[in-house]
Amino acid sequence: MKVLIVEDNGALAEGVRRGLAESGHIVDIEADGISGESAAEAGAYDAVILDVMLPHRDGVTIAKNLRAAGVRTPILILTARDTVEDIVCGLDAGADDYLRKPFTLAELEARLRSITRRDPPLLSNELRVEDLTMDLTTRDVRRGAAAIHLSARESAFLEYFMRNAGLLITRAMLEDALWETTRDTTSNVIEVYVRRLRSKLSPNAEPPLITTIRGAGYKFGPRGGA
Amino acid sequence: MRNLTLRAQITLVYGVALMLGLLAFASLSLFILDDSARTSLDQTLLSDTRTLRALLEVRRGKILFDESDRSQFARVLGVKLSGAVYDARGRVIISSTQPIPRSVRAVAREMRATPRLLTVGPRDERLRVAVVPIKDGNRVAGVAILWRSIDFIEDLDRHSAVIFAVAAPLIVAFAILLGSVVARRGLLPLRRVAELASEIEAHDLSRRLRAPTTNDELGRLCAAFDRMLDRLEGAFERERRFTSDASHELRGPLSVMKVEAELALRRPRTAAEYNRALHVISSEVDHLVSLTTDLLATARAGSAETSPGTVNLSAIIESVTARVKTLAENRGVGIAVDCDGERYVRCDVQGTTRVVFAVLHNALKHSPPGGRIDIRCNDVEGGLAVEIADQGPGFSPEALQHAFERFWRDDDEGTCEGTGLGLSIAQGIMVGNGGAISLRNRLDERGAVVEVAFRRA
Repeated sequence: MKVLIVEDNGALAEGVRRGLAESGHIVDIEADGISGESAAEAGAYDAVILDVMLPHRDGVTIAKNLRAAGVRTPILILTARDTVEDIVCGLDAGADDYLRKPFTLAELEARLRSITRRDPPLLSNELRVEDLTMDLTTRDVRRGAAAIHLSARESAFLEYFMRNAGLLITRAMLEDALWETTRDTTSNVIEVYVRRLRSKLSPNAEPPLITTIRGAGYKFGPRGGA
Repeated sequence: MRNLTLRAQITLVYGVALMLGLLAFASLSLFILDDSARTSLDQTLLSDTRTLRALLEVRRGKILFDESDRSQFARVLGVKLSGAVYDARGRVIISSTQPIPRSVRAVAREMRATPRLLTVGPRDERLRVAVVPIKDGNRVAGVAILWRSIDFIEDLDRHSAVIFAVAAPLIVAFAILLGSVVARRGLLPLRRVAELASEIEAHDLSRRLRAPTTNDELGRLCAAFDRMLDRLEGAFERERRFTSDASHELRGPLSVMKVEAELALRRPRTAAEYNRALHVISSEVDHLVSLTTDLLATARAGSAETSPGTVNLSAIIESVTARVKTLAENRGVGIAVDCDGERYVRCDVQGTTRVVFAVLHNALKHSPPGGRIDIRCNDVEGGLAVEIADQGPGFSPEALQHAFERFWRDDDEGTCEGTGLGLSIAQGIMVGNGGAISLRNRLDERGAVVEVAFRRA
């Protein structure tokens, strides 16, 4: 999934970015409140991690503004204070969860999984399409009984496909959701990933799951299915 | 007494005092009443006896008495007094009552040549007697004697005593009752103070007595209590804010260290990756160390454990300038000091040196290469001020407003270095020394000015 981190402590933001990237997430970083808010409003993020104490605009205000603007992206608040007020304010402002500093990466990732499970609600940390399963905790992917090994970005690709199974997925959507906003995606990188995924998802010549819709994009799921 | 409530103590003391007062007053009243009754009886007896004596005519040692005198005699005596006239041989010439009491007879027959007043008779029938001699030349021709039973005075005394004995306890009881009610009502605010004080806890200091503003002692006590709570609440709030801010500042570096360490431990890494992680952690430890040092300094500045002495300000400036000399040369920044002669101020050397050093160091950090820092000593009202002016970018409007707040850092500076405590500590030290520190920007050119003011020695 694609995550925006709004955090003014550069070292912390960078550490979290590397941690999340290793788990197959795509991470953008903003260092101050105002640019953080506009990035969260404009970008296609699956989750936003907001520090409370930020230059120019604090995290609670950002959460409130985002919700007022109709942005429904799950928000995780990071607070370094001991007081309950920050947490209560943050949650009341529209944040979905909070984490107290210092935190562990494992917990941060678990909470990200938890808040992204909510819309649409998933009952478990497992995505399933036909006989293909993806465990969101361990990132293990199986087709039937066969384990499939994917790189971090391939797994992000697959997660996005599986979460949007049955829907039309355009190239623009993939670019927004799977690449850092600052990086330019070269013309055929998406095709390369799709091709790789196709071959990896059918290790034993199972029916393909990714269908190309000419001139529009892709669709994930059994051919001819919903 | 210790175990009684204040109300009971007040009422008790008040009751006893009232009782003693009443007792003293009653005794005095009884004494005066008794005394004046006796004096007035004596005067009446004596003057009436003299009047009686004047009625009588004496010729050649013999008392002449006729019938017209008899009615005069009765008029003089009235109804309350009894009287008699004796001749020299002790025979009764006239008497108002029969028989004449024995004690009276005995007095009359002594035939003394001087008028006398005396009390005679057995215990249950005391009589007050006035005797006036009836003289013919130097010879005593007889006596005129008047008497009255003094039972009536004793009756008066007894009645008064009874009235007092009945009335006093009633008065005292009533007064105690009334006093108790007044004391209860008057002390009600005290009970509320006690109740509130026992209910208040450190985490909720928002409650107040809000007693009606009366100017009596308890009204003032309640107002003082409320003001004390205001101050306490303020202090607790500042303390809470400081703790919260401090924890925020400490958790930042800790989070970075935690994330870096966790990341490094997640899977086997290359030597370069471990190296990088340790570098990040090491620099965060450095930050934590300076933060801890500054937090301690803040706590010390807050406790105001300074011992001001008389210090030559020029010497402090000289020593501080010497310390930053190398750094200034490396950056190509000149330092011009205009502070000659001996200028004595009152401050603690350590703290002041720290402040001047911090300000100068800061000025150096913000000075452009080839710039100049001016240090000037000025006489100001009530003391001396050191002005340190650089040619850097100056203070932002936010900095001028917030720079002394704890943990405040200028976001626009773009650097995350520093703990945000330096100026707050400096202010704490200067205020503790009876001085001040203030910031402004240069008017004539670019640059910041920090003024550190001292009390003159």
